[in-house]
Amino acid sequence: MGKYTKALCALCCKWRPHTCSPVRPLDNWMHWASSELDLNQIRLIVYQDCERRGRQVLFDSKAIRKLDAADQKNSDDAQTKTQTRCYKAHRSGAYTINAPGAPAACQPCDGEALPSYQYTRPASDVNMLGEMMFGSVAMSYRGSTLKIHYIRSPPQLMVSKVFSTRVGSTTGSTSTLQDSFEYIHQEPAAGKSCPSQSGLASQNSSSIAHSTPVDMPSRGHNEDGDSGIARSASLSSLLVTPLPSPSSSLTSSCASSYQRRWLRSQTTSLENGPVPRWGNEEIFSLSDESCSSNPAVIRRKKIAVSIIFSLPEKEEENRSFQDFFFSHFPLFESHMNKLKTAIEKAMILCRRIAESSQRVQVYLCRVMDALGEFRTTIWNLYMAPRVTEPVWLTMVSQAADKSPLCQRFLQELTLLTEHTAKSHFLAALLTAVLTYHLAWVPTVMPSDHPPIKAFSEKQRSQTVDMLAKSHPYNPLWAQLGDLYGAVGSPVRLARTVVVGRRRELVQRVLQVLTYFIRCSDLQENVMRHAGQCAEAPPGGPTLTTTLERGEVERSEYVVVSVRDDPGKPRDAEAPPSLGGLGAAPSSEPRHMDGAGALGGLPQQSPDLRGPRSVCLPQQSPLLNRVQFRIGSADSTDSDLESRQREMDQSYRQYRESLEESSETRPAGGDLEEPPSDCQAQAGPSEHLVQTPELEPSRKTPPPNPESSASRLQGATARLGPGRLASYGSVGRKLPVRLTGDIRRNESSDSALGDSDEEEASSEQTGMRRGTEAHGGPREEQELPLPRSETFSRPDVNNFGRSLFGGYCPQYMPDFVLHGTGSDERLKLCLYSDLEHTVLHPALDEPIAEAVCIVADADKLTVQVATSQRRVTDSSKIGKDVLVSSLVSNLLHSILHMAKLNISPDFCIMHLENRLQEVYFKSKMLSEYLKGQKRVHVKELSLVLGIESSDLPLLAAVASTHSPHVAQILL
Amino acid sequence: MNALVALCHFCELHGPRTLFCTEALHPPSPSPPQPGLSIAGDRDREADREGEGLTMRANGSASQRADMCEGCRSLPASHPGFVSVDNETGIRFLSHQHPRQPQLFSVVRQACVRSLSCEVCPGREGPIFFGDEQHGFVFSHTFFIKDSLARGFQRWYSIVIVAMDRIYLINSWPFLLRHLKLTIQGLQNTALKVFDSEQCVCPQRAVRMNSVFSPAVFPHQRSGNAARSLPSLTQHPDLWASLHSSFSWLLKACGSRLTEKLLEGAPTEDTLVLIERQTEQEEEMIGWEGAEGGCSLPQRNQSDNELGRDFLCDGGKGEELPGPKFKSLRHLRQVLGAVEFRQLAWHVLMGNQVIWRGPDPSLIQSAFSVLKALLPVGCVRSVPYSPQYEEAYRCNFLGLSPDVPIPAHVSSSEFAVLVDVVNAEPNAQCPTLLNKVEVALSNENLSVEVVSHCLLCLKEEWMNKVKVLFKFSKVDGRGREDTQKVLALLGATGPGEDDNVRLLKFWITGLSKTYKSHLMTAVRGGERTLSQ
Repeated sequence: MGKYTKALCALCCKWRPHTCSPVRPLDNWMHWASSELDLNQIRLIVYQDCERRGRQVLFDSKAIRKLDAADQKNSDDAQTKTQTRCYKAHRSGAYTINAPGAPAACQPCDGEALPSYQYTRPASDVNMLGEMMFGSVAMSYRGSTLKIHYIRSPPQLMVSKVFSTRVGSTTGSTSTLQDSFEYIHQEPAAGKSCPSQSGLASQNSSSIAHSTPVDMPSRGHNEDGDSGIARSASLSSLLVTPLPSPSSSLTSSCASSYQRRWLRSQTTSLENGPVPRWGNEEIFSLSDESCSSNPAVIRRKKIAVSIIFSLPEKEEENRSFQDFFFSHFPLFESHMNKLKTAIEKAMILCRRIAESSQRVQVYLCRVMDALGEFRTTIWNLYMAPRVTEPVWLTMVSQAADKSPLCQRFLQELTLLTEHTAKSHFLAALLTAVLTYHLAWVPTVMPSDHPPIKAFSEKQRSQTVDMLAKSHPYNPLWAQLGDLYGAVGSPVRLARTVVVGRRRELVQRVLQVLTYFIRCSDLQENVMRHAGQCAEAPPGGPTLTTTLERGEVERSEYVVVSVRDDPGKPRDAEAPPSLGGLGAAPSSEPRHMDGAGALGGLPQQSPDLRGPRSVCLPQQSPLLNRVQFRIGSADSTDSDLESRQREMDQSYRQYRESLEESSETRPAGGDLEEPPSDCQAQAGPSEHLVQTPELEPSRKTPPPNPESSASRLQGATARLGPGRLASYGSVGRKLPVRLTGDIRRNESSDSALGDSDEEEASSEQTGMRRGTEAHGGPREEQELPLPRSETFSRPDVNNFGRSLFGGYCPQYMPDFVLHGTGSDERLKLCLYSDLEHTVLHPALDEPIAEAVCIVADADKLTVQVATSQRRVTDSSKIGKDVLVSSLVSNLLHSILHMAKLNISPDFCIMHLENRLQEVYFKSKMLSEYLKGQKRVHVKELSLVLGIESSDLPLLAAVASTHSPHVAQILL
Repeated sequence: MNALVALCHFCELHGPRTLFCTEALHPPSPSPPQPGLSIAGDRDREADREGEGLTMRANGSASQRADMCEGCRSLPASHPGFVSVDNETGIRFLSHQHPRQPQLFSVVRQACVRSLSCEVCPGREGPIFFGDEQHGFVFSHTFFIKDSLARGFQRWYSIVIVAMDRIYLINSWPFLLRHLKLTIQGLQNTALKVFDSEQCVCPQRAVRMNSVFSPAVFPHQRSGNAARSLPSLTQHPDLWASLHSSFSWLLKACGSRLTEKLLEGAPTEDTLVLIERQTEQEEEMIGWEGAEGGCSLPQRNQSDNELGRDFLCDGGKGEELPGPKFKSLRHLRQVLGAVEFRQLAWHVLMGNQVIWRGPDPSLIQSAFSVLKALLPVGCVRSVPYSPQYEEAYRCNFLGLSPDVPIPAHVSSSEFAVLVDVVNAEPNAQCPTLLNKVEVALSNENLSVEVVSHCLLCLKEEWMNKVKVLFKFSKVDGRGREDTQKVLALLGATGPGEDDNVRLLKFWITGLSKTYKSHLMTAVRGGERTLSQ
């Protein structure tokens, strides 16, 4: 084991050469964070902005102190000390909740037993923070608004969510809470030295002065009908299902990972305009009645919930926390939502209490508890130990010899299999993991490319690579979905917890599972501008030649583009072309380093600008074959092809629906003139869409004939035959609503003419791309894109590295996988966590079900808890897992192959092959289920040889490629 | 990145204005075009839209331009804007004063107003993130630019990045902040130098203190100077072009900042073998320059197929080639009868030579193509129709015309099956695979597609066993006893053991060269590392 540890540490260092944060391994399990996180660094403010009453602080953790009956000293930061104490006690592990009221979220608030809190004087920065939360203009938008502010000194990061409120039907009830706050501030006995009375009053008046409600210009009357809300009604329903519904005849194989990513890039595309993706209008509820109140009332009040993180003073620690915060934001946000719900509940609850001081106590106590839980969760997320070397990710990222890795993994696997053979513990656990953490499926789907490197090395998915380049989506999001197994349909989100007192055993289980819970590996690409200008011959552009393969299957050509690289600023890591700015003294007309400052300007002779193409016969037929998979026109039988066709179709459907919805509104509605009152307030309007530069260019030839000639050349050069094939189909489907397209038509016979072959041929084939891409912009002045050199390094702040928890002192809600010694807290929180996950998934898309696999390494049982039903048997956490015979056979084979001394690499290959068999079986199942309404389980085993124990697994796997399976079987 | 970048300015006369905006336009989708889809309909639609656009333009811009001053305009009206193309991905970066897509116009406008007059940033200069589902999400960085003629000697600007994917935008905060700061500092430094030199020439503070203040004249007095453009503040005539480059780069770099490595499964043996064969063929073609004539399909006895048609009464009508055909394994089974089919399939699976003698080449061909499905691609060597007998090592599927004699050693061999003469080979137990295939074939409820998936599953399952056996016996060269163990492990023992083993051994010949050579080299490599 010692050797193992050393190797791990060595590996760990090797992987993270650029880590800004030193990793501190604990045993062989590392801590994620480099810096300490003090619980008091997290502050909560709840603010209210009311049209009538102005702004009021409803809660500020900085201005509250705890009155402890036992501790009469009542030092201002008594609470601080308590918390610091327990935090220190658990430094090696994680922070465990032992604050008195911690699990009180579930307990009824009993006035007697509660610790009492009191307000001290309001913090000095609270007015400023209020300004930041609400902004200086009252917004009429009904949904929630998210804001993040950076405060420089002292360094703080503030995340705010501003909600509209929903109040009960009874008038007057809304004000009780602020009344009670005023009460507490005004009551001299409650606050010791309490200047807050005046403070509050001034605060009121000041905020009134600030909140002159200025409506947003775009929110005028004319536009209301066209607002996103109206649009979302028709669109959100469409987009809620992340996979096309089975009825849309998109049934045959589609690579789920490709599809998920593609759909994400489409739903978050700017080109589609603001399309609310899943229309949950978050509202702050001040009443538990579900009465729909008058919208006019709703607009009158906003409540902001803000969390402020005090950042560490040290630059490096500061940065490492920020990097963690921004990359893990979805998790932070999810917990903030939980906190908000708790605050809501507290407000509703305390309103029922008649006696004023008690009401405030109940409220404060509730909110403090919720805050305590939030702080703890964040602390744990940041500080808990992690699996240093997740097996799968390590194999993916490590280019060198994988044999030692395979060997070690196989050793662990066989040890564990033997150890738990009698109880089928591992087989059951693996069945559950493979059923719910489904991201392994795409990794065994057979590729149709020949292997490039060593055989055992799987290949990067080229289609996904290409997609990521041309339609960037968020890889972090994709990775999170993979880890949680949210790749099937309906979308389910899964986590796995291994409970056990034997630390070593639990850790071994965790280690093994990190092979089966898979996700993509993330790389960070640091782009630098190629330092060109220094080496470039003065006055002349540098020519670079690149070979580009034709993109079409039958293409016989390689496109050679010759293009110049005008001088780039030398400044590494700096955005281009402004490098010269700093050096431009006003008195001098030319810059000192001319090339750098003028980079990218049309000063070179036009015939050198823009790429030109030379067509060469393609050298290798193999080359050709490889490429056509990217975008082939008419080879019909490959799996990929059909996949893409489906993509295409679903995209078209989506676009058409988009169009329909846009057609229902008045044409160009959002471009019509703005309401006059807005004009008055925001200055003369820019609302009329006609940007001045469009019109002249439509009627007059391009100002500079020379540059237009060069542009034509550029266009000719980009004549990849493949372009048409790969862009055509969908572009043609795009509803063309952009003015630019029109211009293109008009000008094509004059300015562009026949010389623009790309245009011409696309006309011929009738494949027009959306305006924006090929059409109108033809007339823009073309500048070369600054070339940059890319250096890749492993990305550290990603979920694959952060969500495999180690052996933690207690259950944690975020980790995809972790181990813990006790299930006490698990039992307490699991179901509320699952429910919360369904309501506020960190995945930023709606999910159907949240699932937690709980493996008990002491009792050797595996159970699955789901948000959809609670177990009735109180001794159980979830439902027992049925061991799949496919999985147990697989484990049996691997174990015995290892015993027969077959090389570890081969065993792992065989393991992958067996997983691939599971995939093929799922394909068979989905094919069988096509056109069936209901299927009896016995029938399946009789007909297809599918055993009933395998059915849940196979159905889940099938749901990743064939959505219709779910409807029949699940 | 799926976002746009805009430079905004709070004009002293006109309030918050969008000055310059860079959009990224993505190619529609990396999908192949679909053949035979109605193009006309789309055309019509486009025509409609064109009309719409024209009217919009007609009543537009004139009034707007009157509302603009130098300070809130970027490119001159005659300027067509800038474009840069990322050749690798087809993404185009477009810059204009306002976004070209109308649906984005109000989004950017909103972002601009909020960034400069609604949201509060401590210290007024710095980053903020804000947004909602309806208006999109915005990363904004506000900053001052020195101007000797402006109120307070400075003007207020912001750069906003607008996206719909809030998580992505927030994830990119550190990156965006780092790079926007550089851009902003560049602008500020340049403007500061201009400011300093202007102050040297004519100190404005003094001018202002000495001038007589008159409320009536003041706005007019100022307005002449208030409208200074950013290029004039920085003395950078090509400022917009360089901002375009800078913003385009930012969008590109932010979009490719993180990349995924996503793995696919290994290709199946069938895929590999097909690829290998294709490569070989192509190499041959290159070598022989296509001199090879079609040896496979002699055209004769085409007329003599009456018998066959009667034989397969429901057989292929309206196919491209005349004559009856086998459509599927199940069809073949129905025609031959269960017992005979079983025998035939057995021979196929064991790698025995299947000779099909008959007058109709297309019938024979269809039979072979159906039977081939039982085997891995690598195990199939077929001569669809030959005028003379071919040896078994050359082909395991052989089609012959009825009059071709078959050598005595073949017809008496148990390793061949002749279809026109039922060569009875009594086999009590069959390979497990065949039994399962038969279950699927005999079940009429299963569609042809399901059967073929079923066959695929079975073949892949057995192919994986083949791989283990190959590794074990051929690569590692293990002894008999161990081999027996591994066979048991693979589920090849028990009833039908002999046949199973025979099948596995035959199928080993179907493994791809790629796979075999990989295992061989891996072993050599492995031994080397072990010895070290």
